[in-house]
Amino acid sequence: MLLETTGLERRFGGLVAVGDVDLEVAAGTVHGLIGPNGAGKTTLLNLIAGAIYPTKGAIRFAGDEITRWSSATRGKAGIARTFQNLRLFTEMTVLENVMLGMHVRTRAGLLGAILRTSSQSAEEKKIRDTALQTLEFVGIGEMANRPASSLAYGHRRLVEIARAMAGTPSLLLLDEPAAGLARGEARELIGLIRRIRERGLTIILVEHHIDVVLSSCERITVLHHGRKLAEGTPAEVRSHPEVIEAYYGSALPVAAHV
Amino acid sequence: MSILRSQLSFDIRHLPLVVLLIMGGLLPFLNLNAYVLHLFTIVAIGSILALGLQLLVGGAGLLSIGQAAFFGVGAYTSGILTLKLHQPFLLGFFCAGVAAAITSLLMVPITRLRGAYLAVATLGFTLIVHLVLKNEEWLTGGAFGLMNLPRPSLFGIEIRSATAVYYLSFSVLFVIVVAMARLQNSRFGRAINAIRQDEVAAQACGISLIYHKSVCFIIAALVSGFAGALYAHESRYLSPNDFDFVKSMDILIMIVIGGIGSIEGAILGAAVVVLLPEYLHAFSEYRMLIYGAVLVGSMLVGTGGLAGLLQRLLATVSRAR
Repeated sequence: MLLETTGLERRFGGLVAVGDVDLEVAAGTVHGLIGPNGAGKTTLLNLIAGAIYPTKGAIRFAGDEITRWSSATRGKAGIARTFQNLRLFTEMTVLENVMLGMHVRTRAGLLGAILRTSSQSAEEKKIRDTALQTLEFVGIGEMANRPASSLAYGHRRLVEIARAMAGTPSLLLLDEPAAGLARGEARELIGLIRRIRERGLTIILVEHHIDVVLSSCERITVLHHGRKLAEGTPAEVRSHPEVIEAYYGSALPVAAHV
Repeated sequence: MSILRSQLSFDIRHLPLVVLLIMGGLLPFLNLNAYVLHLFTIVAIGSILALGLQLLVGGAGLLSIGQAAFFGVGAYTSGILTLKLHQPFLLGFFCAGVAAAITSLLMVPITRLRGAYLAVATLGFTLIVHLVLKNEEWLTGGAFGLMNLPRPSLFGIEIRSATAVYYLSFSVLFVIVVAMARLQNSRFGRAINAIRQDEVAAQACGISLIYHKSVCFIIAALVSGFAGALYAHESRYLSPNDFDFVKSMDILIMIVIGGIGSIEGAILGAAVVVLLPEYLHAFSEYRMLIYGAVLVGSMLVGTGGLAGLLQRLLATVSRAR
């Protein structure tokens, strides 16, 4: 298992946002996290990313216990993420945003920068080239030099994915990447997730857009009131009676889409 | 074609800084009298201080009103080393930077603070250093300060003329300008800009907040310490009141007037803050009133300060061509 959580709990005052969650994510898979609003999906993602810390339980990643690691340290270890409410560096260009994603894989320090050593220049070139390649990979290479704030919403989402990927993480956390996308854009996103996976990355996908989840994930964990309700393949989850119950009481809402 | 144009505009944006540096280099050829040259030396020293703060405020978004403390630590370190221990100026100069940088390590615990909280904490730091300078008479000469500091010297040769003293400060400024410009456009520069814009996203990129913020404080202090040494041997008299919180405010005013985040802005702002009150001497008691009005007025012109104004002007001109 690349990522494993055991008995993970996070309380906010009296509210148990995430309670007793055991999650196992195998390397090379796309693992979906779904559930009704307020089910604790983003909280669980934030716990894995290190944006917040659990009140109980443990997280293991690639053989290390990372429960108390800072988000920056987890970034260096190979966990990257996107945000549900976009967090681009809006005063920078698209390219600079993605170049920041390379921070974890580069090392040039102060002296190198001030003296412009040859290794620093070479590294800068590598950062620039990789960032550009990553932008081309997500399909917006031609927007590299535009201010990040000038991009349309769907493209900003792609910049976030490129920024997260630029540091060649082993685990990519995508927090509702399809939110606010048009139907055509969502289809493109499905293709992109497939291509990211072909690069050997493991993905945890939090998503409401059920088409995206069902066509991208090989395993899905359903959260409800912060607890694990069901887990399995898309087919298993769809026919799980408790999942159907939790979502709409009776009929499976996804049927209309699929 | 688009590549050509982007390179062209890239050059144009650097024009104000290049022009300023050339003007600074040629200044002594204008046959200015020693007093005016002394004022421009103070402008150069002020620019160094402003550049240090620019890294904190314009770079990492850390609002500090404590820079006078490091300026003071640097000035007194060099003053004491040269006056009391008869060490050469160069050693005093480097020790001034190092001492200020070491002092700034005391700031590491407060790097977690933000905005007004950080500003007040740094202000408190200025007050403490000011009190130490004023009261530790055995070391700093107390309220009387340190008098008859030696002139700067390089390898045993004393620097006497106002022109040479100006060039000494200008050279240090030049080196720091180049260093800051390179830093801005580097992995470190991008990282601190990211912190200023969004700390959560920066951390998700693997950027450590404490490390980067602390390094910014240390560099700003180092640079301010160097400025302190230059000031000590330029004025050759140190009084604790040169390093109180009013000085810290002056440095902050420099970068705000000049334009937050801009290197040429730091220099332009220092020129305004140092030269304008001098120029306004003719108005005697109305001096500070007019100065205050200029400050308010320049804030109303818009964000970006003088440097922003220049850049907008340049952009208009280059578009018109």
